[in-house]
Amino acid sequence: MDDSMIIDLYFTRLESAIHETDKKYHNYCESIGIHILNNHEDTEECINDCYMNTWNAIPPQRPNSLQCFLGKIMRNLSLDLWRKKNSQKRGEGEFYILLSELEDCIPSKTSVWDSCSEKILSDTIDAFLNTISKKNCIVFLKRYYYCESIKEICKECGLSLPNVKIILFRVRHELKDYLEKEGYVI
Amino acid sequence: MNSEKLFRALGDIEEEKLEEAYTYNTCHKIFCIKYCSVAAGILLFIGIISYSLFISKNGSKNNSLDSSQNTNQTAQVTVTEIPNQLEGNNKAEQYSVINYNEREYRYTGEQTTKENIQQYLTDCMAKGIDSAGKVHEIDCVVFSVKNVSIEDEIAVEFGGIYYIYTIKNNP
Repeated sequence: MDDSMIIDLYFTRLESAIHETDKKYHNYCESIGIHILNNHEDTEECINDCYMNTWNAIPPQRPNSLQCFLGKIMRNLSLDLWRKKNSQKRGEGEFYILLSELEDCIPSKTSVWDSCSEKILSDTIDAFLNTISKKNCIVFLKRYYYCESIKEICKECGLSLPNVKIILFRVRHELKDYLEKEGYVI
Repeated sequence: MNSEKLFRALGDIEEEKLEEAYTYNTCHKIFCIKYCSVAAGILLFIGIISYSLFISKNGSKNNSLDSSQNTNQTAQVTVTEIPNQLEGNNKAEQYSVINYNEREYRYTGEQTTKENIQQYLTDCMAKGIDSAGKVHEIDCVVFSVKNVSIEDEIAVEFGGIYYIYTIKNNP
């Protein structure tokens, strides 16, 4: 079913909207959840919460892309659950490695960073992604948006392991420089 | 906490980029390239085989045409074009004119023996028309005669007897 039709179902408050969403985007949500949580039960829990949040958000919201809308909710829910479950054991797991990689991009751990708007930061990152090559952008997003492992990225992008690592390393440092230039450092 | 903020901020970037990154998968491309090239290779192989078969078939057809033409040529050469009147006591008298190698040979009334035969030249079919106008055909064999050029004389065998035929214009 077309996304706009599914969204219309949400607007008419028909529960089949959730069924259709599940039919079309279960794998997508599962892929995001499993990469962050590395646990099927937790992922299913997040997927159900994701559908519930979507049900509550539409209407009034009418997303342009239902996929990205679900992806964002799923990421945030998975991150919350991951933090809750891993609060006692920091430093473990693939997702922790991913987050520690992202720390390379942060220009300064000052209050400026903490106080900056997430939306403005998103726009800055978006602008930065426009300055890099398409291939690098895709590799970066696969890693830090979809939380895919480096091996998966190698397979999907047809690149070697060192190549992907180098791309990620360079993009992280370029992002850091870009954020510095944009005033994210005092 | 800082990296988590960055992680969350990444969630708000342009949807187009996110969709493209999600759907981007060169595995399919590699798969397609790999299997398309295999398929192309197979098609090429089939094409080459078909072409070679076609060529060989055409070649054999041409060859067979050539050979049939040769056969026809031989037949044309050897068949008596001038209908004989089938009058006489022996086959040579009945089929007194034989065409061989685009030359017209006429029966001389002489016979020869096998010892005087030099070389087999061709099988031939002599044609003749009887007094009632009916066409008759008979197989015969043309030989060269020892010490005589075939441009002057040939021997034609009917039923084990060798008859001497000479060029029509010869006196």
